[in-house]
Amino acid sequence: MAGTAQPVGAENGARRYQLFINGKFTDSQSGKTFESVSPHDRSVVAVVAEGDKPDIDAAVAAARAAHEGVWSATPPGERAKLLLRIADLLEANAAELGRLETLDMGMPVLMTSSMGAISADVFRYWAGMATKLHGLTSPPMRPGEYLGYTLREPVGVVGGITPWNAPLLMAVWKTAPALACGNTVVLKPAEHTPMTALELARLAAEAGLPEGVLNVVPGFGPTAGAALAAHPGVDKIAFTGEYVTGRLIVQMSASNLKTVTLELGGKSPHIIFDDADLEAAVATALFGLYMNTGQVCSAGTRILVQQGLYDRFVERFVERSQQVKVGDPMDFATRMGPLVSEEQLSKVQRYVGIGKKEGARLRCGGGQPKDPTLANGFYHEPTVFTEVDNKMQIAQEEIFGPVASVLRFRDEDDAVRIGNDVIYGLAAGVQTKDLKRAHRIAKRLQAGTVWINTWHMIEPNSPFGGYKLSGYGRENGIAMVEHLTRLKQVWVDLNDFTMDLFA
Amino acid sequence: MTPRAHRLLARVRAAAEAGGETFAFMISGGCCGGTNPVLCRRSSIIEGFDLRLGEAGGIAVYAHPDHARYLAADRFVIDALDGVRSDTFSLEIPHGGRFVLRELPDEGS
Repeated sequence: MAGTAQPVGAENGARRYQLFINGKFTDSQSGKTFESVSPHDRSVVAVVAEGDKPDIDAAVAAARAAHEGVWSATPPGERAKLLLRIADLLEANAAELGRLETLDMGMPVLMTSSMGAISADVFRYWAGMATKLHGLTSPPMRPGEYLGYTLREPVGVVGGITPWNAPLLMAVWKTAPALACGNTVVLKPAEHTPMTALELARLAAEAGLPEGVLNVVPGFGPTAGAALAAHPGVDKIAFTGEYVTGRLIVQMSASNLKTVTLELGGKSPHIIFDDADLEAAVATALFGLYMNTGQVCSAGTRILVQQGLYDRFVERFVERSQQVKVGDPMDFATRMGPLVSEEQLSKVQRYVGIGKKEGARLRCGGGQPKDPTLANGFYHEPTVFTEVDNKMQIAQEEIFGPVASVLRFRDEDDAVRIGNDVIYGLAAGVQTKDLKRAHRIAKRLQAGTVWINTWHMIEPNSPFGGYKLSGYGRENGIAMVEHLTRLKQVWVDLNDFTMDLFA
Repeated sequence: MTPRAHRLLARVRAAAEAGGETFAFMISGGCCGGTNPVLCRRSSIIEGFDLRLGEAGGIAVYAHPDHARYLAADRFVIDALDGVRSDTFSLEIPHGGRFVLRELPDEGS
C-alpha cells in the first residue's frame, strides 16, 4: 500500500505542501518552509516544506531500500501497469494540474491545461519501454563453445534536479524513464515551482507506486540540490538548468563517480531563407520565441533572416509581436503570461538595456505592459531587436525572456557560420521550401535538435539534449535507456572439457 | 559591487562556519538560471581554464573563456535582489537574496 497523500487544501488562499519521502508526506526535519509566489500578482500560492541535507539523506535511504526490495522484485510488466495507471491519473487530473502550474509559474492556462495529457503520453511511452529492455547474446571470438549474454540492469537510485519553466513535464521527464528502467527516484523540483512535482508524487501513490520508489524533496539548490548531487547513495543525476550549476554537479558527482546528464540551455538560431512562406515563417518564429514568455531553453531567440526577405519579415514580425495577447495567465485568451520571477524580469530588463547600448535597433516592446492590472506581476512586453550583430551580447547570451534578436545573413554558408557561432548547441531551425538545402543545413548545424519548417516538436520518443555548453546526454527515446541502465556481461562455458592451464 | 550585494555577501560569510572558506563568483549562462553570478567555493574554479574577469567584494569573478568573450566585464556590477530565490546552486540563495548582474550607467548620464 502506498503512503497516504496529505490533503492539499487551501488555507488563506495558499496551499500547503510537505516533502514526499518513503510514500508519506512529511515536514522537513528542520521544520523550515518557504513560499511559492504567483508571478501574476506576487501573492503567496503555496507554503512548502524546505528540504535540506537530512531530508535528502532520508529520501535517498528510502529510494535505496525500495530499489533493493520492492522495486527490484516488481517485474517489468507490473512496472508498466503502474506507469499506465499514473498516466491515466495525470490525464484525469489535467485541468487541476494545469491550474496549479499556471498559478505557480505563470504559463498561460491554455498551454498548461494540456500538460497533464502530454505528461501522460510520456508515461505511456515509457510504460511500453519497461517490457522491452533486454540484453544481447554474443558469440565467442575464440574457438570453443561458450555462451555470452548481457543483462541490462537499472543503475539504482536516480536523482533528478528540475527547472521551473515546465515544472510538471520536467518532473515527468526525470521520473517516468527512470522508473520504467527499474530505478527508484529522488526528485528535487525547482524552488519557484514545486507544486506539480508534489502532485505527481500524490498521483503516483494513488496509482499504487510502492513506498520509496518516488521521493520528492523541494528545497534550495546549494542545500538540497547539492546534497543530492554529492550523495554517495545516488547512482545517476539528471539535471536541467544553467551551465555553472551543471559544472558544479559534475564536480560533486566525482565523489562516487555517479553518472550525470545535463541539459543546460541554448541560444538557438532560427534560420529563415528568402524562399520561405512569409506568413508561415512569422507564425513559426512567434511560436518558437514567445511560447512560455520565451522561458524555454530551446526557444528560437536568434532569428536569422536572409537579406532578400529581411525587411518584409521584420515588418510583419514586429506587427504580430505587438498583437500578442499578454495578460493574466489564468485567462484562456492569454497567449503570453508573466516571467516567472523578479530575478527573471530584472535579467530581461538588463538585456534590453544592453541591446540598446550595443547599437541594436529596438523595434517594439522593451518595457512592462501599460495595463494597470498587470503592474504587480513580472510582465514584460514582446520585444524585438533588429540589426543585431552576432557578436553582441543579446545575440550570444540566453535572455530567457520574450526578446528576439533578428540578424541578417547572405547565403547558406553565412547562415551556418552565424548559427554555429555561439557557446550553446541545444536546438536550431530552418525555414525553406528547398528540401535539399534544409537537409544539408540540418547536417551542418551544431545542435541536438534541428527543426525544419516547424518549432518545439519534442516527443517522448525523440532524443533531446545539447552540443557544446548545452550539456551532454540525451533525454527521451531509446537513447535515454543507456543513461538509466548498465550492462552486465555473462560468460558460460559450454565445453565438455575443462581448460586446466595450471595442471 | 553594490551595498546591497555587500550585505548579502556578509550574511553568506557569517554563515560559513569556522571561516577559512574562500569563495569565487562564476558568471553562468543558459536556461532558467541564466547569465548571472553563481557564488561558489573557490575550489570549484578550474585553474588555468576559467578566465578571471575581476573582483567584487574581495572575491574573484570568473567566467568560461568562451563566454567571457561576450561579457563586457568592465560594464557590470554585482547587485543583489532581496527576498528573491533562484534555481542555481549559488551559495547565497538560502540567505534570502540573489546576486544579479547590473549594467553600470553610462558615463555622464
